[in-house]
Parts: sequence; structure tokens; C-alpha cells
Amino acid sequence: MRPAAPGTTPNGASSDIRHQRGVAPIPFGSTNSAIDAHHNSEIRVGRHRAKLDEIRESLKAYEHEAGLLSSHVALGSLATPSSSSVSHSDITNDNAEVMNFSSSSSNAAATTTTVSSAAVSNSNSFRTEGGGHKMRITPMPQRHLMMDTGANETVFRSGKEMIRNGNPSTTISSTPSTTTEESIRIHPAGYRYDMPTPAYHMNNNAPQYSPGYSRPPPPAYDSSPVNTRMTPVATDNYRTHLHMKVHPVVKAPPPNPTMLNHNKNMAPPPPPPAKSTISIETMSEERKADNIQRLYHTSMDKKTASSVVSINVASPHTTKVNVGDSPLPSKSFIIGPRYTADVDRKNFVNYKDELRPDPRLIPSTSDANHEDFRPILFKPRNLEITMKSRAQPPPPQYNQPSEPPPKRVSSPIDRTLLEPYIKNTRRVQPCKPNMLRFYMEQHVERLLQQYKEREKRMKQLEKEMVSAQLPDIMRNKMLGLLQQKESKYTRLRRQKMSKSHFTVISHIGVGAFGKVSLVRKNDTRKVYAMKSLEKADVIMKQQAAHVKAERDILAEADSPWIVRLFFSFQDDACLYFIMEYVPGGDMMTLLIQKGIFEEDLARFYIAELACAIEYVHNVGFIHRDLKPDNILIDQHGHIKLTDFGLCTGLRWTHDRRYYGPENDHHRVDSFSLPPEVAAIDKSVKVLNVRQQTRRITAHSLVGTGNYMAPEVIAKTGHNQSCDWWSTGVILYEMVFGRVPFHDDTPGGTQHRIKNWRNFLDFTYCGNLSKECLMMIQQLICDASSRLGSHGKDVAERTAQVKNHPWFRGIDWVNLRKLRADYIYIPRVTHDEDTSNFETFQDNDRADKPNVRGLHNPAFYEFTYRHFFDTDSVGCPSLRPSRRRSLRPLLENGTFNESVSEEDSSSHI
Amino acid sequence: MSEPSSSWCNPMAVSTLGSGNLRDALKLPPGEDKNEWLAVNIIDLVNQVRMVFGVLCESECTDSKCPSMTAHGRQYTWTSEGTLLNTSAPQYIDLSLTACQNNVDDENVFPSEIGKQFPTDFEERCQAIMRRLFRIYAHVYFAHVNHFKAIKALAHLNTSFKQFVLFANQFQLLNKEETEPLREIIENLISFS
Repeated sequence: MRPAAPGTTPNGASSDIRHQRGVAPIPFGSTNSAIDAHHNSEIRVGRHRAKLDEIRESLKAYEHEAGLLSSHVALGSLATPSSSSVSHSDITNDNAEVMNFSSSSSNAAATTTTVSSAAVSNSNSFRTEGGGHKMRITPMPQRHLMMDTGANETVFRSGKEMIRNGNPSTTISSTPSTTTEESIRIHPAGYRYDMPTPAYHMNNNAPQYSPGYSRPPPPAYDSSPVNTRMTPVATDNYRTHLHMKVHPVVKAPPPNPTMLNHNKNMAPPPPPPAKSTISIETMSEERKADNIQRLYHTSMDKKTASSVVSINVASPHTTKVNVGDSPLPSKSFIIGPRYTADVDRKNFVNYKDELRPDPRLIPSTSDANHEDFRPILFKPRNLEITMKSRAQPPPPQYNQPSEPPPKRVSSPIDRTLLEPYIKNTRRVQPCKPNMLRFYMEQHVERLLQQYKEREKRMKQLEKEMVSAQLPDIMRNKMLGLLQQKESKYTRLRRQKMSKSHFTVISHIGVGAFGKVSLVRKNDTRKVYAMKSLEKADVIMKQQAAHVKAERDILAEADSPWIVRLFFSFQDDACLYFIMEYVPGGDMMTLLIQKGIFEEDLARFYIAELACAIEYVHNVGFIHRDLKPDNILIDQHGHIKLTDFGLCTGLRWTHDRRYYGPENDHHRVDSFSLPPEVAAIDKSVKVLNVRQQTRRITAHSLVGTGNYMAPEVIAKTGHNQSCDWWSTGVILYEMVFGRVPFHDDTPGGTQHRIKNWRNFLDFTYCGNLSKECLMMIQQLICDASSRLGSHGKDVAERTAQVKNHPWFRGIDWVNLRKLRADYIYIPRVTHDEDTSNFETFQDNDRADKPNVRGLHNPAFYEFTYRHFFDTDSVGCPSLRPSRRRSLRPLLENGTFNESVSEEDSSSHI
Repeated sequence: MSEPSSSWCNPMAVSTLGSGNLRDALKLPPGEDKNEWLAVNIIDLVNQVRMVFGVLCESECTDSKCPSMTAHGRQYTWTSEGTLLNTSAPQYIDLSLTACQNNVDDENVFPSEIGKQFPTDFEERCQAIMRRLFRIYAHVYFAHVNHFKAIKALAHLNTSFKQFVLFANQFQLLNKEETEPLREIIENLISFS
């Protein structure tokens, strides 16, 4: 409340005071007219030439004043009569002054009496307003000084500035508020326009003052007419001073009305507002009311000239005394240099009086200087404020060109896609850096591989057609058919396979990482073997690399020695292999059934195993887990390798480092399951129970490593030759009816393998040939001297095995189509016949929580579809369909395959 | 986030995997249906970009680090029913990949059954998918190329983008203005092929 009140009151006061100022200039003009009349009378006396010059200066001033008067007259018609009346009254007073001046001292006594009576009548108001009176005395010397040195117009405006600037000097606390008001006023355009004007006048005022004050002769000459014109003001000042010094109580009241009149006449509009503000703030409400009444009273006095005249007439002595005193100082001042008889006496008296005002004049001058300086400082501050405010916008504008804004590109998006955006859920799965590298590397390889395979198929077809000497029409037709098939294959690669596409018939096997089931495809009614691997198991047992290797070798295998892969896909829980179903059972089952093989049968099987191993090595893989369980027998008694679950490839895409933690450089051997895993894994238990039940001396436990090479067990590094060691162990088991390094515990078995020299026993060799024993000894031995270990390539190394004397008589080229009495032919009655496998009820673990979603990077590039699946049968061994026109050329690339198909037809 | 052009466009930095014959592998084989070839390759590219962003989405490209989807001289935004969405880069990319995956999974857009036809506007849809994938590459090269250097996968990123560019150029799936943000690196990749 308080801060707002002062802000409001000054405006009101300012408005009232401005109204008063509007009237003030008129009486001042009248006063000037009176002065002019006085000078005219002096002309009649006939002074010296110097006097004439003074008169000329006064005439110039009069012309200026006339201009002001005319402007005031234009403002109002009533003002003119009032002014004229006042003018006449002044002239009469001047005459009276001259007459009274020659009176004796008795007049002075009368004057004293009159003043006393006036004081009594105004005593109450004087005492109440004592503080205000004192405050008003302070600015008077300043105005007097300015009027002495400046023109009338300058006096008005300079007075405004003086009084305004005087505020800071009188009241320090008011300065901040004043500055704030000024800063506020600067912002409006109107105020900005007004501000420069005062500054201009302030600058003009200073030069006028300095020259007049510094030059002795010109100031005396110039100041003379000014002093003459300002006689009434000087009179007031002199009289006030005199009375206060001689008779303070008696003489003070009479000057009040006159002083007020002069204050109003000469007071510029700006100064009073600030002054009034201070007064109002320091006065009580009653004092404020009195102040307002005083102002009104003063105005009334001015308007009622008759009242003034009556007062003067009522007390002629008082008037005479006042007028008589006033001329003396001015005249003495003008005639100072000349010392006449009468004048000398008067000068002495006046000289004493003049000394007393001097102390007041000097401080006023210094104050004026300070006040002149402060506004100059104030203005620059305003400019600085303006500059500061302006400084903010430019920088952004300047920076914009240097940084052009990016081009905005907007695209519409379906509202349905915004749901995860609103819920702030993300669908992109994080991916490890090493997984990205691995994926990109094998991805590029796959792109190039597919490109080469497609070209290979086309060239193969062209080659076949050339060899068949087909006519051009037929060749073009064949090419068209191939292209259609390729296009269909391209689409089928995008087709999403699912477990629901197959119906499970029975479970025919179980492994450490999953199970094998006999299934039928719903749409084609073809029978397959489906191998399921649980993702959680694969990840937990760190087998992702081996799964990838198995998928790759099965996908790329194009050999009768390897079980064929037709599809591979995945869902959240499992990885799936859809493979060729080989109905004859596995070698382990046959070993259990026959106990010991005849040497001819064993030689046949080992020869075919050698061919299979040669193929695996040629395509860059190491099986590492060759054992009777992984050797299947087809319906013609020939073998096929399967279950490459522990297989590892020689290419970088099967390096386990890509699947493990970022900084995992320690290789964990996949053959040794962690003890915790083995203890709780039901699959292992099931296998253990099954094997122990059926065969005590020839079981094959997961992780026991009966067929593993010693360098594999010792983890000292191994190469493809470890598969030949396994071949030797299988041969020993066939002809001796037991594994050579069997022990009751897995640790015991490993110990015997590492010290194979002490435990390889050839007792009870019976009827075995010398060459057969030699073959076993040359396979189960140190890697450095093992058959199949030396040579620059796979062909050379395998030749060491094939050229062994025990294989004398083997037709390697036609081995696949061999028919002999000693060959075991499994009994197969229908395509779903699983009698050669041990079926069992499987506890499906579909409820196991999945590790991650479908897009787990670890299982990228797993989905696969074989090119020849679209037309070929799921079980070529069981149900060969009738030959089609394109089939022999597209599918039976090799002579062996063609013979096989023919035999199949004849057999059925 | 942004780098001076001379750094990531330096020919020494535009290393790729040994993929000399990549251009031939992406050409339309004789007798192959064009739409079929577009389909199988675009699915491949969507998978790649998802993995590329998967490397960044956990800690590198976050709402705080990439508050807007920016590239060299470009800022990409989504609009929904005429309203501009202020999405961060990871939000924008997530929406892009989701939209692409939805198209790929749609049997009416990318049919996988034998005998089903492609839609008549299939090529336009492919172009839209390629535009979205390109903007993801543009942001990755603009803001995260240093990270790929740090994880020693810059050659893999370049190889992926190279396959993208070669495929887009063969079938005119991107216009010149769209590829302006990565013009220099594209020229380097193609010239080295």
C-alpha cells in the first residue's frame, strides 16, 4: 500500500500545481511592464549615454517579454483585464516609493508598528507552517542567481531543472524513486521525445553562465540591466533578509503573501511537483489541507487586485518603507564605481547589507554546478540501459546466418503405431556389439553363397542338357522351368514355418539338448524326423555355436552320406530341424542286437564311414562326436551320419567367442557338461537309464567320451584327425564286442583313453585278420602317427586310410550301390515304421520359460529351406515317386544317385 | 554429437568387409520376378537395420542424448492426423522399424504363400520402407559413428549401408534429395566397390 500511495499522490499534486502555474506567468508579465514604466520615467530625467545603452538592452528584453505576454493573452481573454489592472497598481506604488524615500526616520517607526499588527494576525498560521517556510527559503537563492545570469525564457526552464535536481541534494532517499520514475518515463515514446529537450537547455544554460561569471567587465555591464529588471525580486530578498535579522517576529508575516506571489509568478511547472511531493510526504493530513488552502488563497489574492490596492492604501507607511528600502541596493550596485557625497554615505550602509547575503550565494553556485553535472551522468545511464536492452536481440539474429536451421522433413504415421509411443515402450531388442559383427560377417557370406549356388544350379542344368544333346527348344523350356523353380524358392524362403505345420507321430530319440520325433507335414503328408532344441538349454550350456554349425553343415550337405535337412525354423521356445527320416535305426541298436560283427560287415561299415568322414572334412567340419548312436542305417543297409550337435566348424562363423560375453576368451569344452547341469538335467538321466538297461558293456553316455580322442579330452588342441581315432574305436567295438577303454566311471574312462597304450587290449582277437588288427592299431594311436593325419589336403589324408591293406578289394566308387550277402538289411514295413528305434514317452517341457523373443540375435540366420524340398520326397529312401521330365536333370546330378533311385524302384 | 565431415568421410574410414562381389549378388537374377527379389532383399535390410539400432538403443541413442531425430542438414518428424509429433530419435526410429516390420509381416503386402499376388502399389511401399531405413542410417552416421569405431564395428556398419545403397540404386528406390545427408559417404562407398 505504501509504495503505491506515493506513486499516486505526486501525480495528483503535479496536476494541481500545473493548474496554478498556468496563471503565474501573467502577473510576472505585469511586473515586467511596471519595471519598463519605471525606466521610461528615468529617460525623462535625461541620464548619461551609459544610461541610454542600458535602456536599449532593456528595450530588447521588453520585446522578448512582449512576445510572452501576447502568447499568454492568446490563451485566455479574462487574463488581459486582470493584467492591466495589476499594471496600473504597480505604477502607483512606484510613485509612492519615490516620495516616501525622502521621508524622515519617523516613517520607519510607523512601519514597524504596522508590521507588528500584521504579524499578530498571522501568528497561528506562521507557527504551524514553520517547517515548510524554512524549506521554501532554501531554493530562493538559486532562482535569484539564475535570474541574474539568464534570459527570462532560460530562467523558466533552468529553474525547472534546478528545482528538480535540487531534490537529490535535499533528500537522498528520494533519489532512487525519482530515478525509477525517470527510467519508466524513458520507455514510452512520448517521454523519450521530451527528455532530449531539457538536456539541450541544460547544455545551453551552462555556457551562458560560465562566460558571464568569468569575465569581469562584461558581467558588470551585462548584469546591470538584468539587476535593474529584477529589482522587485532583489527587493524581496533584501527585505526578507533585513527583517529576519533586525525584527524576525515583527517583519516575517508581511513578506509571506508577497513571497508566495513571487514564488508562483516565477515558479516553473516542473520544480513544484517534486517539492510538493516532499512536503506532502512529511506533512500530516491537516497540514496538507492547510497547504492546499494557502495555495488557493494565494490565487485569490492574485485575482483580486482591488484587495491588494486597498491593503496598500490602508497602510501607506508600511508601503513607503518597503519601497524606500528596495531601490537602495540596486542603485548602489549600479553606481558602485562612482563615489559622490550622498552616495558615499548610502554605499557604506548598503555595503554592510550586501556582505551578509554573500555566504548564501556562493554555496548556491557550487550546488548549481553539482546539479548541472548530475543530470549529465543520469542521461548516460539511461542510454546504457537502452543499449543493454538492445544488446540482447542482436546476437541471436547475428548467429542465425552462421547456423542455418536443419530442413524439417515430416512423414505421416498410422495412429495404431503410436500406442507404444504413448506408453513409451520400445520394441527394438538390444544387440551386443560382437553379435552385430558376427551377424554381418556371416550375412555377407550367405549372400554370396546363395548367389553362387544359384549360378551353379543354372550351369549344372546347362551342362546336363549339353551332355544329353537336347535340342534348343527343349533346352529353353528346361531353363524356364528352372527359373520358375528358383522364383518359387525365393518366395518360400520368406515363408514362415511353424511347429503347427507338423503332426508328431512318435518320439524316437533324446539327446542332451533336445529330442527327436517322427512327424508328418500336414500339407504334403510327408514324413520327417524333427529334432527340437530348447533355446534355454542351448544358451545355458553355451552350445549356440555348435547348433549353428550343425545347421550349416546339414543345410549345405549335398551328399548321400549325410542325413538331409529340409527345414529349420524357430519359435519363442525352441529351435527346430526338419530332417530326412532314416528308418533303419542306428548302429548302436544293431551292435546291441548282433553283439559282434563279422569282419566283412565291419569292413563294409568302416569303409562307408571313411567316405562320410571324408565328405565332412572336405566341407570344413570336424564331427568330434562320432559314435554308433550317430550312425543311421537306411533301408538298403547303407549308413548316413546324423546328429552333428557337438560338431564344430573350421570357419570363423562357428567360433564360440561370438556368442559369449564380450570379454570371454576362455573356451569351455562342450563335451563336459557343468556338474550342476548334468545333475539336474532330466534328459541326461533318461539317457543314462535307457543305456544302462539295455547294454552294460557298450553304453554311450553323454559326456563320457568313450569314442573321443585323447587330445580332445586333454584339451591340448585337436584337428580333423580326432575323427579317425573315433573310427578306430568303433571298429574295435564291432569286432571285439566292447569299447576298448570302458570303465565304471567317466573319469576312469578318460584316464584309460589318456593312457591308451596301457589299456588297449588285443587279447581274444580270435579269427581276426592281421590287417584288421593293424588297422585298429594305426587308428588308435598318437595323432602324429595316426592314419589320416598327414597330407596337404583332405584327399591325401583320407587316401592313407583308404589305401590300407585291410580295405583291399573295396570298390570306393560304387560302394554306395553295393549289394552283398553279408550286408545287414533292416526290416521296414511302412513309412511310419519306427520298430528299429527305441520309442518312449517324452515329458514335454513346453512350459519352460523362454529366454527371449523371436528376434534374439543369437539365433539369427537359423531359418532354412532346402532348394529341392519343393518336389522331392521327405524320405527318398522310402517313397520314391515316379520320375518326372525335369527330375533326373535337376535332382540326380550324380550317377550314384541315379542308380540308387533305379534300385529303389526295382526293390519296391 | 555431430562430427566434421572430413572425419567420417575419410576414405580410410570407409572400410568394409571383404565383399567384392556384393553388387552382383544383389542384381536381379535372370528370369526372377522383380517384386519377389525386392521382397526378399528388403526383409534382409530391415533385419540389418534393426540390429544396427539394437547396438545403440540401450545407452547410446537415448531420449536425453538424442532429443530429436537429426542428420546432416535434416530433422525428421512424424505427423499423426495433421499433428506434428515431437519425438526423440530413439522414439522416431522405434516407430519406423515397427512400421517397416508390420509391412513385412503383412501377408497382403509381402505374400509368402505360393500363388498369391503382390499388391499393385508394392514398389511404392518398398520405396517408403527404404526411405525410413535410410533416415535411420543418416542419424546413425550423424550422431553415433564414433561409437561404431569404438566397438570395432565401423566396417560392418559400412558394409550394411553399402548393401543398402547398391540395392537402392539398382531399383531406383531412393531419390537424390532424400540421400543428400549422406552423399559424400555414399560416393566413397560406391567408388571403393
